[in-house]
Amino acid sequence: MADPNPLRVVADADVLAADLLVGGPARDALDVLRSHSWVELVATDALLDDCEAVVATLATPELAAAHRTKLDDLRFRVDQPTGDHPALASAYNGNAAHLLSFNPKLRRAKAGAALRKHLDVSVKHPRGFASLFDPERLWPEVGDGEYPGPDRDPRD
Amino acid sequence: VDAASELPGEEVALALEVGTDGQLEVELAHTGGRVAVGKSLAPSVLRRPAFYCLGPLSSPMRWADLFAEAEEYEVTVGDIETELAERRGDG
Repeated sequence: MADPNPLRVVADADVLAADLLVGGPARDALDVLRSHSWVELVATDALLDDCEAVVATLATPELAAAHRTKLDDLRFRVDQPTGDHPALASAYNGNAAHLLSFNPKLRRAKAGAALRKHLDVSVKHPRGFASLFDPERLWPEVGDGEYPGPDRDPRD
Repeated sequence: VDAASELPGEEVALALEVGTDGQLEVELAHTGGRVAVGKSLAPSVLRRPAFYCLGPLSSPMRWADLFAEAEEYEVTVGDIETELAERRGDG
């Protein structure tokens, strides 16, 4: 099993949809990715399909499609094996170190132990990720010198 | 009118309009300037206002625009969880 990439993050469809429709911790977490071009959001097409379907149901298909377009621009795309859980497939194929989810089943210790047999990913509530993830500490993996701060406008 | 092909670089045609000399002009979205495209129009056309949009020029929405549009929907994380669980068949 390869070492997970600490700069790669998967947000499950619930977090992606909540970023748009609810705000709060989901948006705080995704803002970290939006404001740092070198922190990558990893997602399969199936993961974006799930998010788009949820947003289309709870808001409108037009808003869901516009959101999908923005996510498409932001994400690093990886393949989706048939039948796999979209978020776990994204983490596995994208070698992501972090998986953000509101689903308590995924965040239970028992689930973590089962997952570790196949992939080394830390499943976190978006609030935990937003408060613990420190781009400044990870900057030496990316560039030289002092951490320059965010390099993108998270609202652009 | 295939005006776009005559425009330099990354300029984007915003609209077509009749210039004072009867030539069709293209207004450029980036600069607001105008370029004549060498098409003379008939007097009957010149008598009425002419302003033709060349099509959608919108760039992808900004995140800020998306969030603003989403504000009108009162959605909770619980609503999202329920929908997602139903879609994935693990409700």
